[in-house]
Amino acid sequence: MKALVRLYPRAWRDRYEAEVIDLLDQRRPSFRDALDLVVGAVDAHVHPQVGSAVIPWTRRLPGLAVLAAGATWIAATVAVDPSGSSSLSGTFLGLSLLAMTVGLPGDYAIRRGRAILAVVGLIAAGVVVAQIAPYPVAVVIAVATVVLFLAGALALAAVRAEIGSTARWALVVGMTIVPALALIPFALGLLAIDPLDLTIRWLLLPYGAAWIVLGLRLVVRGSQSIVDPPTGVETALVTAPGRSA
Amino acid sequence: MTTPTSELGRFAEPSLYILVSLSDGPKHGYAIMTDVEEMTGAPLGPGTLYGALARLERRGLIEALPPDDRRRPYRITGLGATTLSAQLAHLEGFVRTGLTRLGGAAR
Repeated sequence: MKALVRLYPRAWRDRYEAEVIDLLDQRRPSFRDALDLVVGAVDAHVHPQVGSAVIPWTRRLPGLAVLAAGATWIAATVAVDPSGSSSLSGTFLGLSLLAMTVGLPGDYAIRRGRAILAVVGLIAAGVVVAQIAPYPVAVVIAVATVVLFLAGALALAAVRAEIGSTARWALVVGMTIVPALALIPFALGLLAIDPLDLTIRWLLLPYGAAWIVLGLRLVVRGSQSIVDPPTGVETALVTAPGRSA
Repeated sequence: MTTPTSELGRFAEPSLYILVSLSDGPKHGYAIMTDVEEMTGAPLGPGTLYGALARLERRGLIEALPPDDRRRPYRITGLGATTLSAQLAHLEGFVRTGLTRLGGAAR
């Protein structure tokens, strides 16, 4: 039961943990108490009363965009119609890509603009080469370009959600490169696939799940959104000599 | 200016219980919990209790006193007493209206 107190934010625990542990020591906690502690922990994250100021709703927008990206990605995966008569999956996929783009951090683009520009350039080059290269090089380039976009977008969302570099690499490789490697034999026709048997599409589900996990973390923690006034760091970067042009 | 506890959402009712509990002197968390249980017949869960305490403290309706080991007593502030008084007066009027109407309906 006392372990549930660890679910609370650090600032809350610094202030109330000893008191709550003492209270739990004085009575036999029930299942209802355990549930109450869990609900209280969620509330303490969403409506922090201790330590940092209450997070304004605008700072939850990036997390909501990332959550929407994950949810629509999963919806696109589930809605695939083997007969091709429904365009619902394509609509969800479009919405997902839009939400991923909207969820990308504008402030991060200011700090790492060149790196992001390089990746966007590689994606553009990949699209062109995939159009003109001979088979099967074109297929490999096309898959690599899609993976680069998906990995880059997921990595940016993970950076924004303040995921550590080791966990971030594991997340990106596990959710994009590994499924892509599994898909390549099918894309090249080396392994046969029944057009009506689309079980292979479930390989795409973990990617959507990763966006949802990042979105939940971002919603709880909050992050700078495009409608917030710039912080001191961004203001300094934007107005620094040589960067303001 | 008073801060009505009704703005505290689902913590409004527990906050009112806590203010009433503290109105006769400072108490720590467990003492508040048992006192509220005696008053209402239902205990406050630990998450609800400390969610309400944090909100009341943030709004200046209660204040924490120096801790005694792991126990920290809380005391109602002047603003808290004023808020509680206004809230109870409002409830008293509501109860009186309800009883009057019930009495009228019974006749």
